Amino acid sequence: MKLLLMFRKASALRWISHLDLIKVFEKALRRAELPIALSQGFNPRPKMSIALPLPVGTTSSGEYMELELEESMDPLLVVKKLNLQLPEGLHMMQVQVLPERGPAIMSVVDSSFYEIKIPLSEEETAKMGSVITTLQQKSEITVDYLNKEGRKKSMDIKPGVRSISWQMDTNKIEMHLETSSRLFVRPNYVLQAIAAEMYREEWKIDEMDIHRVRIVLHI
Amino acid sequence: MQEQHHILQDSKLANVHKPTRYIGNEINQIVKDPLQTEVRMAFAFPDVYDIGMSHLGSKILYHVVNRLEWASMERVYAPWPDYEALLRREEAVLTTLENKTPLCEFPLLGFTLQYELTYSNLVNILDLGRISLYAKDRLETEPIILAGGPGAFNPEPIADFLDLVVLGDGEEILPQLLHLYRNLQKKYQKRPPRQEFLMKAAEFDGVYVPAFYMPKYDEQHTFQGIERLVENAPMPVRRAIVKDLNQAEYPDALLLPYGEVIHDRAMIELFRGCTAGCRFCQAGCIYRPVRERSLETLLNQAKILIQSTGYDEISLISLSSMDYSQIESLVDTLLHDYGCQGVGVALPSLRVDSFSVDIAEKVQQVRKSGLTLAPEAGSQRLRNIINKRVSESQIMEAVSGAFDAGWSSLKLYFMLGLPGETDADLAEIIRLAERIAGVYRQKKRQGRLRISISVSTFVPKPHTPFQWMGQISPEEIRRRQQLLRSMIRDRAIELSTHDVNTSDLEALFSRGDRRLSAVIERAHELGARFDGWTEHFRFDLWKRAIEECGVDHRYYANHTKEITEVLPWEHLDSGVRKEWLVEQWDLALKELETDDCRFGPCSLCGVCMDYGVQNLLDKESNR
Repeated sequence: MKLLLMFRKASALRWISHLDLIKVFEKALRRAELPIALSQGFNPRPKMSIALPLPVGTTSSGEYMELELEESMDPLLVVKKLNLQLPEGLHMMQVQVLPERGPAIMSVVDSSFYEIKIPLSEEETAKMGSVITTLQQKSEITVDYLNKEGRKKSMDIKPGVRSISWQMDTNKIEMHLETSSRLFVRPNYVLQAIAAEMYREEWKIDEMDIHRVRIVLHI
Repeated sequence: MQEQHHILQDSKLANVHKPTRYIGNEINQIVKDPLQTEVRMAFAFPDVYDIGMSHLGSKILYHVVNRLEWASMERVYAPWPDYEALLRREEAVLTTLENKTPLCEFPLLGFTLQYELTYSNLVNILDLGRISLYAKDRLETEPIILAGGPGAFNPEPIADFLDLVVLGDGEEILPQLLHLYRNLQKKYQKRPPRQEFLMKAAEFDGVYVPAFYMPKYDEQHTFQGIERLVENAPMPVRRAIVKDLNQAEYPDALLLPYGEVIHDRAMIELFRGCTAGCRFCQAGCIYRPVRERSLETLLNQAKILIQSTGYDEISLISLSSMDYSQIESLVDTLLHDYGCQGVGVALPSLRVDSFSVDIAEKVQQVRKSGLTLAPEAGSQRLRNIINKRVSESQIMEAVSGAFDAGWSSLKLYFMLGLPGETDADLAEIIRLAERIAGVYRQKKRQGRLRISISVSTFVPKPHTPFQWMGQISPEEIRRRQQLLRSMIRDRAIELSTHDVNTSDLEALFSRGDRRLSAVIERAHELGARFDGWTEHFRFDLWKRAIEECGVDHRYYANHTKEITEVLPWEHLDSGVRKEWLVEQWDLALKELETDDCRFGPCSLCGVCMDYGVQNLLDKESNR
C-alpha cells in the first residue's frame, strides 16, 4: 500500500537538514511499529521518499512524503501513530492513498508556493508594489548564482516565475515558482532581482524569513 | 532581581555551520517548566554537541536527575567557534538547549571532565554563560559549579574554577546532592548559602570541595602536600561507588541527536570497571572492581531502548566488552531477537584473541568494516612491563582468524614512550606488522591488505602504577616517531602518530597542580579553544600562557618523581592503595605480569577491602 502524506516542518525543526529529516522519519517509523516495506540489500531501509528537499532554515506547511506499507492499513491511523512519534515542529497534516504503480513523487514535483518576509525601510515598503509590477512585466529576469562547483553563473528565471505579489496588509511577498527538475527557481533568486530593482544590497541570510506554503505535485 | 541577559534570536542560526547543535528539541528530550521545578541544574559537556551526544555517562545522569519530579537537568555543549563568534557579536549569553535559560541563572551547573584538552572550553562555557571564572569570586546569586568524570581524579589544574568535585560513579551521589540542596532551599525559602551547602555536601563519600584544602610549596616551589582549611573536611576524599549496577538507574529512553554525531546508536553498559590491570590505564584503576549487569537486566534494557529510540544498532559498552562473562549468550540472544528487525550489534572494543574475532565475525555478518586490535606494545618484554597479557601467538591466531573470516583491513593500536622502551621495542612494532602481513599473504587472499598502525604517545596518568614517570621529551617523541616511520618497508603498512604538542600539553595537565589554573585562564583569554581538535589547536597560545605565568612545562610533563614525593592528587582516593601502585611499578621494572583478579588470585589493590565491594560477575568464568 502506497501513501502520500503531507507534512509541516516548522519552529526549531527548520534547522534540521534533509538527511536529518530522513533519519528522524526512519526512527519514528520504527517506533510507531508500522508495517513499513523495507528495501532489499545489505542495509535495508524503509521504503520512503520525500518529494523535494527543504533548505535548512526554511519552514513549510506543505511538504510531501511517499511511504510504502507491507500491508493495508487505515491511512488515518498511520498519520495518528506517526504523529505521536514526531518531534515538536514536525507534523503530518494530510494523507491519501496512491496507486501501486505510479511514478516516484520526486519526478512529479511541479512548483512551489512561498511566503516571504524581509526587513524593509518605509521607503522600500512603499516602493515594493511597483517593483514587483516591473518584474512581472519584464521579458527576462537574469540572476547570478553559484553552481555546484562554486562557480558564478547566471540564468533567466522569468519562465519559472508563475506569479509574484505583494501583500500590503501582512508585508509579505507571495511567490509561485517552478521547482521541477526542468527549471528550479529558488525564492532567494527572486529576492535578488527585487534588491537589484531597488538598487540596494541583497538581504542577509539571517534576514530572510522564507516559508514554503506548499509544493504542487503533478498527479 | 537579576539583570536580564540577551538571548540569541533563533533566526541568527542561519549564520552557523551546523545549527542543529544548538536547537535541542530532540526526541526524548525532557523539558520541565522552570516555575514548577524546585531544583534546576544545567549540565555542560565541554566539547562540541557531536561528541557530547555520543557520551553514555551524560545520558545516564540526564535520566537520573530528570526522573526526580522536583528536579531538572538541562544540557549545554561547548559552542563551536562560529557559534561563539555569533554569541559574542550579538552580545548574547550562552543558554541551555531545553528552556534556553542563561547558564548564570541556574543554581547548579555541572561539567563532565572527559579529557584534559577540554579545559579551555570549560572556562569558555563559564565565560559565555556570564559566570565568574574563579570559585572564590562567585556571588551567592551565581551557580555552584560541579564537575565529575575521570578528570575528577586529578582536578587540581582546574580546581580553582570548581566549587565541588564528584569522584567516582555519579548516578547515586548526584541525586543525593540535589536532595541536600532541596532541603536547604526549603529551610531558607530561597537559594541556600553556598558555604553551608558545600560543608554538608563534603560529608558524602565522593565529594571533594577544593576550597577546603590548600596546597603547600617549599622555597624551590616543589609541591609539599595539601592542607585542610576546614576541620571536618575528609582526608583522603573517598570515591563514590555503585555496588550493584543491576540496582542502578539506567535510561529507558536516549536522546536522539541531530546531525552527524560520533556514536549514534542505542547503548547498553555491560559492566563498569576493569581488572585486566594494564599499568598505563587510568580507567583500569579508578573504576575498580568489575561490576557486571546481569544478562537479564541487559536484555531488558536493550528491548526498552530499541522501542523508545527506533535505533537500528545497539552498542555493547564497557572498558573491555569481550570480558563480559555472558558475552556469547548476550550477542547470540540480541542477534536472534532483533536481527530480523534489521537491528545490528556493535562492539566498540575487542580483545586481542581469536575468541573476540569469532564474536566480531558473528555480529558483522553483513558489513565487513575494519577490525581494530590493540596490542599496545610491539615486544613481549614491553607488553610484560605494561601488563598487557597478550602473547605474540595469540595475536597471530587472532589476525589469522580475522583473515579467514574475510577481513583484509586491520587497525592496530600501539603506544610510544612507554616506561623502559628502547629502539628495539619500536622495531618490534614494525616487525609484528610485517609478520601479520606475512600471514595474510600466505593465505593468498583476494583483496588488498591494509594494516594501519596507530601509535599514540603515552601520557602518564594519576592513580596508575606509572604515575611517577615523566613523559619522554617532545624532541625524543619526534625522534621515535621518525624512527618508526623510517623502518616501514612494506607498502601494506600505514603509520599514523599523534601530534607531539598535543601530547605535551596533555602531559602538563595530567599530573598538574593548582598553579595551572592561571595558565588555563590566560590561554583562554588569548583564544585557546577546542585544543583536542587539530584545526583549532594553537600550541603557540599555550606556550605564551605557560611562559607568562612562569610555569615550568618540562617539570610537570617530563620529570620522573621519587616514590617518596607527595603527589598533588594524593588526597583523592581512587580506591587502589598506594602500596599496590608501588608494587605494580616495581613489577613493571622487573618485567613481571600480574593476573586479572577476576580469573586469578587477588593482587590486593585494596578497593574491595576499603570500600566493601567485590567483583560482581553474572556467571562464574570458565577461562
